[in-house]
Amino acid sequence: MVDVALLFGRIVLVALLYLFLFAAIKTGIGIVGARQTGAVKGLAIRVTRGPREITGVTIPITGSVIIGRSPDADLVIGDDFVSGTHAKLVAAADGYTLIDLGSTNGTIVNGQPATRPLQIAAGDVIELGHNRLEVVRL
Amino acid sequence: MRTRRDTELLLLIAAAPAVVLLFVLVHGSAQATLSAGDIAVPLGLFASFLAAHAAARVLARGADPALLPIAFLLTGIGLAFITRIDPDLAAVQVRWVLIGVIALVLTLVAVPSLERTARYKYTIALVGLVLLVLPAVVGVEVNGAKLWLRFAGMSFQPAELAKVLIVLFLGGYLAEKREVLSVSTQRVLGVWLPPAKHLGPLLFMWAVSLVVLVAEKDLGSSLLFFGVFLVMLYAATGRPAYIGAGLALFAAGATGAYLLFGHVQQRVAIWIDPFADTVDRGYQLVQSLFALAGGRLIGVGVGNGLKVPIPEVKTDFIFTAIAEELGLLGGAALIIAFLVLCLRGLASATRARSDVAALIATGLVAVVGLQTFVIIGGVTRLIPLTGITLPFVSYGGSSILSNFILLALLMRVGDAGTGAQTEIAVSGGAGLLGRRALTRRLVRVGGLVAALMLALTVNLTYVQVVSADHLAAHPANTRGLIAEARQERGAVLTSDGVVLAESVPADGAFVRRYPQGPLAAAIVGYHSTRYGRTGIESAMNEVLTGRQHFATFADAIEAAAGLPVAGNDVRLTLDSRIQAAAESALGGHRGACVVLDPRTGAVLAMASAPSYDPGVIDATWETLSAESAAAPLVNRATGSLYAPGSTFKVVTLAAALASEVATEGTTYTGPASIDIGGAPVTNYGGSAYGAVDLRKATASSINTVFGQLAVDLGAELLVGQSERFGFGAKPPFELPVTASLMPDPDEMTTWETAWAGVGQPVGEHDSPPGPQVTPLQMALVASGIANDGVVMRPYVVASVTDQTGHIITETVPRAWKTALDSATAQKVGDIMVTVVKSGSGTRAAIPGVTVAGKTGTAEVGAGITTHAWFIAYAPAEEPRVAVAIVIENAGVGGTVAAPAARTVLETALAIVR
Repeated sequence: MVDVALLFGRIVLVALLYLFLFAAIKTGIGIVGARQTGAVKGLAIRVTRGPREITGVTIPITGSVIIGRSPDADLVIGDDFVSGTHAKLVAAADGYTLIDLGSTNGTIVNGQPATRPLQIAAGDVIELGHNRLEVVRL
Repeated sequence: MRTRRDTELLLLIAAAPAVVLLFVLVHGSAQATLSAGDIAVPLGLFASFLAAHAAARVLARGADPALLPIAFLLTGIGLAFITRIDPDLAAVQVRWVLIGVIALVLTLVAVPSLERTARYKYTIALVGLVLLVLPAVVGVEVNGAKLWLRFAGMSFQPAELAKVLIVLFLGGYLAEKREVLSVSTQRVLGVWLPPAKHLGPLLFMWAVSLVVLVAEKDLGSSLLFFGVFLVMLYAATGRPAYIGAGLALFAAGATGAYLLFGHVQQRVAIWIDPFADTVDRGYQLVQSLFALAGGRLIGVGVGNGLKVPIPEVKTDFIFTAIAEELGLLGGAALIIAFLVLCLRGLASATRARSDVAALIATGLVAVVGLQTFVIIGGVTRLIPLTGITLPFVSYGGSSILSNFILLALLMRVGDAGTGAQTEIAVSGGAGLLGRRALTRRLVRVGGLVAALMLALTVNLTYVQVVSADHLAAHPANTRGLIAEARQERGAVLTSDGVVLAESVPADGAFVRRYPQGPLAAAIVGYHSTRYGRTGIESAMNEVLTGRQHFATFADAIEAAAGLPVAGNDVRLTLDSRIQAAAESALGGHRGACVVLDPRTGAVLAMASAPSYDPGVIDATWETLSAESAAAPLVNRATGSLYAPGSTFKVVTLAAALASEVATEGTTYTGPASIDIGGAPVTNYGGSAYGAVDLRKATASSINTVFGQLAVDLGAELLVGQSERFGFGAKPPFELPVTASLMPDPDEMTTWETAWAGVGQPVGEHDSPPGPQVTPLQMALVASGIANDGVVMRPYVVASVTDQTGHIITETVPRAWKTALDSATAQKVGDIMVTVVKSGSGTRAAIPGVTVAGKTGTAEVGAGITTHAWFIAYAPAEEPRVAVAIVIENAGVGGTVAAPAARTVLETALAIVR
């Protein structure tokens, strides 16, 4: 009879183990990623001209998005004209800003060189040499 | 929305019942009663984790909520199993866990900022390296590896702490250098490489890991260090080329070590074939695999496993103990727990405040993930075994202590984490690191960890489920025998209630007895712990051990609970008196005799001579299996092929009558010798006959007539008829059976067809010469004719009963083949009656009973005495018994086999109604 109780206990134990693991997996923490949160919503950049592997890629602007040639950049443009970390886009409560990170060849926004942080909006065109990014609404 | 700390508390509470229940099971299985003191340890453990949780509320409010509860679960499982293995060690381990929890809190206090701590990276690296290399200088060697420091009676494994320190150093160092490391300037063999001077750290770590491997003979730590370094390097640079280059370096180093060092070669050799040496070098791994295989899906139950000791079960092999006693379900749960722990750690890394913190978290996750993979993979034979602890679970103070420090650092990373909306802080003069870029890399690291854990689970499934039967049956696996000895095996009885085999208690175990000695040994078989099983002992093993056909629902539950279940009894169709008659009918010659009930196919007797006494098989094995012993262990009735001689003429006759190629009145001349197909067919003894009809030719067994008849029939019809009797197929039977053979008709020459019709195989071609028959097949021919042309499926197990005689299953007779239509069967039978009444089989006649039979005298080679055959059934009007007997090298069938068959028939007819 004891052994039968132990068998029952073993089955319950395995059930409890999996229930706990299920709970631990379901517990949210907010994995950092493309998830849309935050105050300002709805803008993204799309690569309309650039190296083939990233043409057409759309990246939502959350937090800060770093553009450059380095693998450390969020949007990696494999083009020697582009600096390692070339520019970044920052989403903040009061809107979106483009900041040139002291790039060698500069960043052009709507035909104007970005020498200081610039506010951007949907429809704006950002150029890094031949590479062309468009600000779009999600 | 709940805070992370509230969630942590809820998860801790959710893990507590499992941990407490496991302790209850451990104590319950050991002493069958529970006292309040038994759950003091798990409750104390829970309380100390609650204390750690309370500290986290103050010191690390933003830490990931799942880390602490998973660590609690793992520590609890480990502690419970250490208690189950050795309660004294558990007391030591409890102290270490408490020290670990204190260390966790102290680490949270001492490291308010990883970035600041990482500034002392070179100091940390120095301490780490000293700890790592120290044992090589002043350490003591244990189990072929120099890992231990001993002072003041305490032993400590410094490598455990060194791994955390080295991760801290690498985090600081790689964060600073990640930009230069990720710039590619030169191309070597199609791969972009960073400047040579920055390859230094890679080569340095490689060298350190090789030093660990060579000087300390510690393959596991070496693999772990280098693997952790590669993962961190990838997370820092995002360049997979480093991984490739690193793996190539490690492969080169490992190959070198393999070639140079005997202990590495030995580890690999054991991995490739652990079964080559199951008693010495491979013992540990083989026993681990046997234990895992014993666990199967739901485990043998806490306290029921580890019947064979495994060295180091409390440390390296603790996973084996867990997976044996909790099964694949429990083992997989543990692997998933580690996977979740790793993924939560990586999640903390993605939202880390700085690149330093992210890299440290990644490194700590790699330590846990790789360590889990190396040791679980090792004990389940996925990779070569290297001794290393299973984090949080294994016994060991240094391991527990460093794992809790590691946990504290991971919690610190999560606590300081700033999340997706904030840029990653960078250290020193390094450039920006995009959070998306980092996340991309960490997702791949997570994928790697998941792939490793999946590989572990798949392999565990293979060992515990797919190959479990194979491993359980392995000759070196004594677990089953130990379990079987404790179990009362069912008895084997005849239909008249005579016990042929039974288990009797002796010294708390059971031994197998065979009260009737050699009687029906060919059927019953033997049951030996050394030589295995045959016969019914083998074929009905699952029934005899009670594993199949549980007598009651309670038995089924008790078997699942790991209790020895009383075996069920097997009742045979054999009658001990007919069996005895059949055995004595062979008269000391080699041979076989099969007695069937033609109406049902029930085997009334099956004798094979020479026989043996299964009760003394262990003592007599050498003699019995010797070349000179005439194979007493072979069941000739089902396993030996003989030329049937003239008994096969009934098949030829049946084919002729059924196909209407001839009738019983068709006449042939029967000279002493006749040329058919360019070669002679001769009569036995050279007798010559004039024109005879088939009835006379059968009664006098005239070869020359049957040779002509077979040619008139053709090979096709002859082979077809034999197949309708069952030739060419294994009769469905409880015991192993050899199929009786006929050649491919397309390959048969005319001369061969003639001799085949006479019952002598003479062909030489790809298909076997035929006919070649088992005595069972000839008994089936006789019983098919007796049963109006229908051959019943032979069976020897009448029923399976529980120990009180209550029938659990009963064999239902079924038809197997339809050999003839009823009318033809009658005609063949009528001619067989003439054989006994006035032909070659008169010595089989029984007063008052009409016996139908056919003699056979099978030639076995020039100068060798013929095999004597007789097949018969009786009474001819309403047959109850069919018999086939072959007596090897005994002479003429009608003279030797017919009277022998008569005694069997007489005995059987008196019994069978």
